[in-house]
Amino acid sequence: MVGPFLQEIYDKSFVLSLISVAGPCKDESCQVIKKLKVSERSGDVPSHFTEVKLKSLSLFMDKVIYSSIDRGRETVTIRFTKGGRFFASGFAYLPQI
Amino acid sequence: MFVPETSDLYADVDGQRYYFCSKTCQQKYASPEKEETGLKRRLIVAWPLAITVLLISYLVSPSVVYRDYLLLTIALPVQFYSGYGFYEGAYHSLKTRSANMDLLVTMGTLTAFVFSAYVTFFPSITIPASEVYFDASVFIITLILTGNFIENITKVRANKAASKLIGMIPNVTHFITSDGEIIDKRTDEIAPGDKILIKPGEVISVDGVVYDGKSEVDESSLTGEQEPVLKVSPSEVSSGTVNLNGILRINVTRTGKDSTVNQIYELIQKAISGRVKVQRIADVFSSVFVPLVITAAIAASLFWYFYLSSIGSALSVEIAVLVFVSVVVIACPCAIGLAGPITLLISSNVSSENGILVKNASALDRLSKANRAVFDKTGTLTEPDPIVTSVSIMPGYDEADVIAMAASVESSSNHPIAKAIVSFAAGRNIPLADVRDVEEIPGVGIKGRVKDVAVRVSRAKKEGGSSVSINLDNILAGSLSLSYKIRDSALPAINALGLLGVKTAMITGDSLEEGRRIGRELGISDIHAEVLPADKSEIIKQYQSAGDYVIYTGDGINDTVALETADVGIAMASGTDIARESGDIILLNNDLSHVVYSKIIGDKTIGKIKQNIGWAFGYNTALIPVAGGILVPLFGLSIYSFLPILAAFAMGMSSSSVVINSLLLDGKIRRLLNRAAESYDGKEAKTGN
Repeated sequence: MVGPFLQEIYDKSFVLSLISVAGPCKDESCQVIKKLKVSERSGDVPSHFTEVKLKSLSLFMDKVIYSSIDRGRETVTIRFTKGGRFFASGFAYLPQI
Repeated sequence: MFVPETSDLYADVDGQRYYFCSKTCQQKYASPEKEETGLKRRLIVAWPLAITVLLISYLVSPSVVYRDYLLLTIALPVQFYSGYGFYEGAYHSLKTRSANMDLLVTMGTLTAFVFSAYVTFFPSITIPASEVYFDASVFIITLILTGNFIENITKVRANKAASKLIGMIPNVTHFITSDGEIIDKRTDEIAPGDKILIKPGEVISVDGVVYDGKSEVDESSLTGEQEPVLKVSPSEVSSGTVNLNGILRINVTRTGKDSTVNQIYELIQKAISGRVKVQRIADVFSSVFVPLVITAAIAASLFWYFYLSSIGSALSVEIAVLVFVSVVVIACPCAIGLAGPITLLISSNVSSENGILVKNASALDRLSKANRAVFDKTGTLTEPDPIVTSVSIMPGYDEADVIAMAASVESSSNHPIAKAIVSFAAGRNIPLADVRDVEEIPGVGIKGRVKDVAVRVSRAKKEGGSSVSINLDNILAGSLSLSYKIRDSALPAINALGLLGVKTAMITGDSLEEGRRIGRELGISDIHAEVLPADKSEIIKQYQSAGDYVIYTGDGINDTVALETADVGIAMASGTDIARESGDIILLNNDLSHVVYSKIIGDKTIGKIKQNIGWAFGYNTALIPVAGGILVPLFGLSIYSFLPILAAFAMGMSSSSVVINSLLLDGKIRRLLNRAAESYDGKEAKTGN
């Protein structure tokens, strides 16, 4: 039996985008680390975004993110909290060659 | 030590923004020489004064009048001149509401100094009178500064290959004016389109194409290949290579940032900003480390204060202060942050010296897991251009005349077969004649008139290559056979990959028979023949679906899709414009043994990064409880008379130990590559994978 919280997130679309955070220092510079941000889709997404359907969810992401997950063979976990926040983990950005 | 994007300490370099946790780091990045000079000056002040403080602390009795005031006075320059950088860094840390190493050092050293100063001015406040710990406060600063200094000089050593490349470029170049006069100009004033002259023994300062002259050029600084390469018109030459024995006149194509040397230098420098997966653990740990350490220091300090107070010890305040100082000082997040970048820098230096350019550091992760190597055939396993392998001339015709006729007509064509025939004629010193009425028919051949003879050269594919029939005035006069020569390095590379546990496969657009022929010679049984260029990536995906991590080696310009699909794309460079090449790794000297070297480098680099991160974790995990007092039941509270200084030593050496451990990677990789090179003795093809 599916609880009320999970019912809320079915049939929804989410957008994965990249944000940059500054990483650890003491190597003469703080490396930029690209992290994944998950947000609920509101409005149109850019036309170049790829749609990935997962059972009853849709994820929209651009080619860079898709390629990083696909090429890096990542298992990205997206957690949804009851407070309505979304967290993604297990993502490693791969620069395009 | 994450720095939020609100930090105003940043630098934009090549479109990438780098943040700095402190002014010290930013200054070090912006002007490392100035930073090093400042560091030396602070150390020159710190060491003599710190030793003096230590000697007075241990040799002069506390009962001597004004002893503590003397210690305070001597400690002041160390505390506030030598240690100034840490306070500035701590200020920026607090301003951005983040936490960095400078904050830990400042908390540790100021706690010891302020406590000691308080005891100096108000000795009767604690009963019995507490000791002063100026030796701890000054040695914290001195030892950590020394650690920074050692780290700086070892890092310079780690970057030697890159520095050597840039240092090779001469400041002055011989410019050829439009009148043919030769004048000396600054290298940075040379522009594409200019003509320059390179004399024997000189380093070529820019990229270009030879238009006159002949010489051998030593390209080992770029490709690692010791054998000089003959350069004649229209050979390409690269900046950073050495003209050995002739005069070359060159049309300049690329200068400055676009030149080969600069592209390689930038790739090496970018290596340290690459991230491998295992660093994710370090990143997460670093983000919470400093707040955790401060919490642990406060908790340990409070524990000892309340415990010692409860048993009536008079040392409760003193020990609590020393515990706090020891814990904040001994913890070093710097080593964790340094573990990956310094290893990548060293690995990148070693690989570039061998003509292997790592464009994408994250590929090293996948390289270490690679268990399948797929090769393109033509241009990768074989030489890119066919060569004439046999000549058959009909009776009544002179061989040299027939070849001269064919080569003369073919000299008007850019077809690979045409180039092979022209090259064959040149190799036999057969002069070409004038040609007229040339007409090339795609897919068929070429015809023209040479000395009033109608020459028709027909090209046809056959198993293993091509055949060419030469008709003179519509009569068959001779034929040539051409084939693609297997690269000398192909067989040893396939064998070596097998020894490393990597299965091999080949993709070709040629017929199955031709594919099998090459496969038999090289010991590759997985052959994919008659493959359209667009289908190469599908074959790679099939291997990946079966669980293989695939290395694909092919042409960096024409195999973009396959190189991007594979887990690791290795491109055989087809020119000197590295920026145009696709691929995670670019081989500058077209030697297939470097595919093997790349695998070795990937394995060892990832192994070293894991080792460094493990060391940095273990270091901190083991030492923080020691600083917190876990050894007190064994050694008693007296360990705190020297533990703060030992903690400072440990912190100072933590980053240096990571750098030194990473430097060992340099020697290890070189030994393995030498061993691999020695084992290449053209063994017989092994069957199967």
